[in-house]
This record gives sequence, C-alpha cells and structure tokens, in this order.
Amino acid sequence: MSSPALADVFVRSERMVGRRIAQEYVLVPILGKGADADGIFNLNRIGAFVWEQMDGRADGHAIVARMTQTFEVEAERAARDYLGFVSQLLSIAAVSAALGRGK
Amino acid sequence: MTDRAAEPLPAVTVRRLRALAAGADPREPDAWAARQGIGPLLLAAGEGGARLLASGRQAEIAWQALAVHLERCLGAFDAAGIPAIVLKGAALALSHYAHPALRPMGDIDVLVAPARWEEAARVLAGLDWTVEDAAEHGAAFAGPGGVRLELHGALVSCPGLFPLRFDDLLARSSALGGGLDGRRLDDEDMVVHLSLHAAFQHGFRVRLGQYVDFACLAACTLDGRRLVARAAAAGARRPVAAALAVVHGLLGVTPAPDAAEALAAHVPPGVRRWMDRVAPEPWRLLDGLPLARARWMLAGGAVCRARLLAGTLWPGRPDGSREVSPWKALARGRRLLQQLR
Repeated sequence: MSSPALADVFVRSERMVGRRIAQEYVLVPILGKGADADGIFNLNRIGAFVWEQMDGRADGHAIVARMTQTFEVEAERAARDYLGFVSQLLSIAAVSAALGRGK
Repeated sequence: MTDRAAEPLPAVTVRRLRALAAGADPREPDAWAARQGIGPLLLAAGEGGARLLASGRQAEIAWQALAVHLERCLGAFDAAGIPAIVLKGAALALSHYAHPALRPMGDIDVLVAPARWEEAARVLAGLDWTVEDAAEHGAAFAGPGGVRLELHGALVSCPGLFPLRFDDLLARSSALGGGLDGRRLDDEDMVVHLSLHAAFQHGFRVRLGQYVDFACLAACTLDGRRLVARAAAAGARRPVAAALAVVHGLLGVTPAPDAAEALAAHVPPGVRRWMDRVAPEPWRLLDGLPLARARWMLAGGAVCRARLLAGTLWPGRPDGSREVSPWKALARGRRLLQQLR
C-alpha cells in the first residue's frame, strides 16, 4: 500500500485488541504467528486518542482537526504526526483502509 | 469464602520484602526485587525509585496482554465444551491481589482434564498458538504478541504421586473473578498446588513473588482442617508442610497456621537441615535444592519413591498416556543417579 494520505479513512483491525491503561493504550495482537505477530504495542496519550478515532468513518482531515483542538497543537504538526503514526499502524496491520472509503 | 485483599500487602510483609532485597543484593535491591516479581507490590506500598516504577509499568502492560488472551482462550474452551481451570499467577492475580498487575507473571496456566488435552491443544492452534515446549504435565504454547500459555493435563510432573483428579478439582473450584468468566482452584486446593509447584516441581527454586502468593492467601480465611485433609488426600503432606515452612522462613507468615502446625511433622528432615543452614541469609531459600534430591525427600516412603522413580524414568504425557522408550529411560536413570549423588 502506498503512503497514507489525509483523505484516507482507516479502521482498526480485528487482529488487534486495544486495552486502555490510564491515558495510554496497549495493542495486543490476537491473530497471527511468529514475527508477524510478535510484540505488544504501547500507544502514548496522543496515539491512544488517534486509535480511538479510527472508526472507519472519520478521514485524516477530521482526525487531525480533533487533534489540534484536543492537544492544542498546530495543524501542520498534527498532520505530520498523524500520517507517521498511521504508517506505523499499517506496518503492523493494526489498521486497514476502510472499505469503500479512501484507498 | 475469599476476601480479595483491600491493601496490596500488610506493612510487616512489605518490610520483610525490603529486608530480603537489601540482603540479597545490597547494591541493587530494586533490580533484585523486580527480577523476583515483587516490584509492583513494593511500588504500590510507596517504595522504590525508577527501576520499580519501570517494573510496575511493564507489569501493567503485560497483564493487559495476558488478560486479552486469557479471556479469548477461556471463551474458546467454553465454546468447545472443554472445562478449564485457571492456575497460579493469573488465578491469584484476579482473586487475591488488589489489582492483577501487582502480580507479574510470565505466562498463563490453564488446566484441562487429561482426556480433553489434545482437543484443547487443537483449540489453541485454531487461535494461532503454537507448541514451544512439551513436558509431562503440560506443554508451553506461544501465542500472538509473544504471550505464553502453559496448557496442563496435570498440576505437576509425576502426577501419579499426587492423586488430584480434574473432576474433583473442578467440582470444588471457585469463580475466577476480576470480571473474567472462568474457574480457579478454591483456596485450599490453591495452597496445595502452590506447595507442589514450589517444592516438588521446582525444588523450592521459584521467584519470591510466588512465595508472596502464599502470603496473599494467608490474608483470606483458609480452612486449616480442610487444607490438611486435602493435602493428605493428595498424598502431598510433605510438599505442603515443607512449602509452608519455607514461606514462613522467607516471609514470617504462615497461611492457615493451624494447618502448618498439624503438618509440621511432615517436613522432611533434609529440608529442615537446609533451612537451618541458610537461616542467617533467608533469601538463599530462593536458590532451592537440587531438584532430584528435593523430589526424593518430598516423595518419602518406599512406595512413593518407587513411583517417583518410575515416573522419572517413564514420564507421562499431558493427555495421560505414557512414554515407554527403554533407551530414554536409561539416559534419564543415569542423569538421576548423578543428581542424587
């Protein structure tokens, strides 16, 4: 898959279960064997926020707008962080493109 | 009835744990405590610095991952009609600790009836778990995310020595608690199992956190007479007596003191001598005894020792079958003799 864009809509994968610990999130792979599914992923406060927004309906523009409001961060910086984070989530198959939306 | 501890641990036990850490590793007591699985408990008691903080956070994350898989596996066993009992760390964490993350653990332990073991293993394979290591009493599985689960067909090795039938354990079992739908051993069976695990399975060489489990059970209303009866029925008076003595030597607490007193005569003399030898440095109890020697002492009596020998030379499998290779028996016999010298 090519690099994510703000127009894309992503949805959380069924291969991952998220558990909240205070303001952070733990992502636990529940399917997959060996290196593909190795490791538990820890999301910080902002990562947890973005993870919870990825419901298969909101695109990157909407999520970035919510990030700027919630964390008082500049839109450009929020967009950069969002896209970098989504790339990481894609690399571990934690999210996928929502059907019929985006790529 | 079990009362979940409102406080992580009594202050006197926390002081004892600090003293053990300071004695065992005066330069890095926090690192020692973290390795022994008591970091989160000390942290909750308001102790320690960065290392304990890190171990507490690690335990919290690890617990969440284990809980996800425990719930998933128990649900799958239930859907397949396979009764299961959660053992050791996960069971204790949910039932006897103020928060499960206070009880670090490396894996989940689940017991099924030997006749259902193969079927349970296939259920795990369907959830992408793979066998890593097999032993007489169970097999270790690796799951997604690197989580580990040990699927038991028996509580300990040489299960023939300790007649603990799955159906009896299940009939007496308690609800798992902690919001998870499952079963665990009741408190008295838990003490018997913890004792067998520490003393017989590992020759007393387990982490301090696993001895602290006994202290958490001590906070509950254990029925001493029932415990003595269960230990006797399981052929486990020696391991239970010895484990309770070691717990007292380490932590200064005794779950069910009346039971410990009733069983005191069953502590093997060799275990007493070892405990007396290391008494000035009680943390050395965690080094345990050579396994073969510990098992020989704990078996006690000619019949039990004969069974122990047979079980060692021709070990069983988790599904209740037995391996009969004479060459492997010869190799095991040679190793056993070396260990007993």
